[in-house]
Amino acid sequence: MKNKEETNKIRQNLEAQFKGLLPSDDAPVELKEEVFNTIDTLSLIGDIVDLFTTKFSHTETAFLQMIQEPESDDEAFDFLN
Amino acid sequence: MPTNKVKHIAFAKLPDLEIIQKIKEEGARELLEILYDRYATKVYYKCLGILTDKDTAKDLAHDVMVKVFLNIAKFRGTSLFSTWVYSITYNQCMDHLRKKKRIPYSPLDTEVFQYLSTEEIELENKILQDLKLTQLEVLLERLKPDDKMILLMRYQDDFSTKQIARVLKISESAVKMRLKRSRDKLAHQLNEMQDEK
Repeated sequence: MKNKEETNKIRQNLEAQFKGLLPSDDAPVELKEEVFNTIDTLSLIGDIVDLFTTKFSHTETAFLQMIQEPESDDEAFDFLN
Repeated sequence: MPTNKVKHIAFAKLPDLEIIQKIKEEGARELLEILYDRYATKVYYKCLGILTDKDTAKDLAHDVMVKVFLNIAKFRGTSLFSTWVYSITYNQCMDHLRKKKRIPYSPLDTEVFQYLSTEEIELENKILQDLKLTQLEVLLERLKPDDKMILLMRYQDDFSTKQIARVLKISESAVKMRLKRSRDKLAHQLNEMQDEK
């Protein structure tokens, strides 16, 4: 019983001291810009990959459909709108 | 006032989960900025506390925040968002230390504990009972990164044994053993520090 009380006391003290360790300053200011630049770059790469995989194959399919069935050309490009 | 700024102010007081929900629905960048403002400093100082090098801490904090934002859609809200962010932080620090080979994959040196007497353990517990914040700051600098990390996870961020086990990729019993070892080292350092005076 006494042991358990002591263990709890130690744990509480450790928690109090560790939680008291607060950052003394803000993170470097340039970090924010670097993080969001990376996010923007990755998002742009994602868009480009999307363009050359999903959208390009759709366009290609639509183009082939248009050649094969010229009457349905408007319909084939509906997905672009 | 620009619309983005207005949005930032309007959402700044919302809880994390609501902001994340809005990010999932709208994908707005200014909402990511709110989360950045809430967590980046803490993430940076955690990395700095573990690795003690400012440039490395900055690089790791960058990688952590990018990882958080890229995976935010996967956050299901089954834990606190802060716990999720910090577990990514510790994971990133672990990977870095392992790459630098400062944390070997070797099994725990459990034999050390077999030689600790009950009196020694009691003495160490007594020492830790009187630990002060100013002392802790100095003591953490003297500890190895893996000891610092596990103590921070448990006592600063309230990670459960299970959560620590997942981050460190070890068993729960190994977590308990390591926690005890790190606590003992802290007590040992504190004892030495008091003797130095």
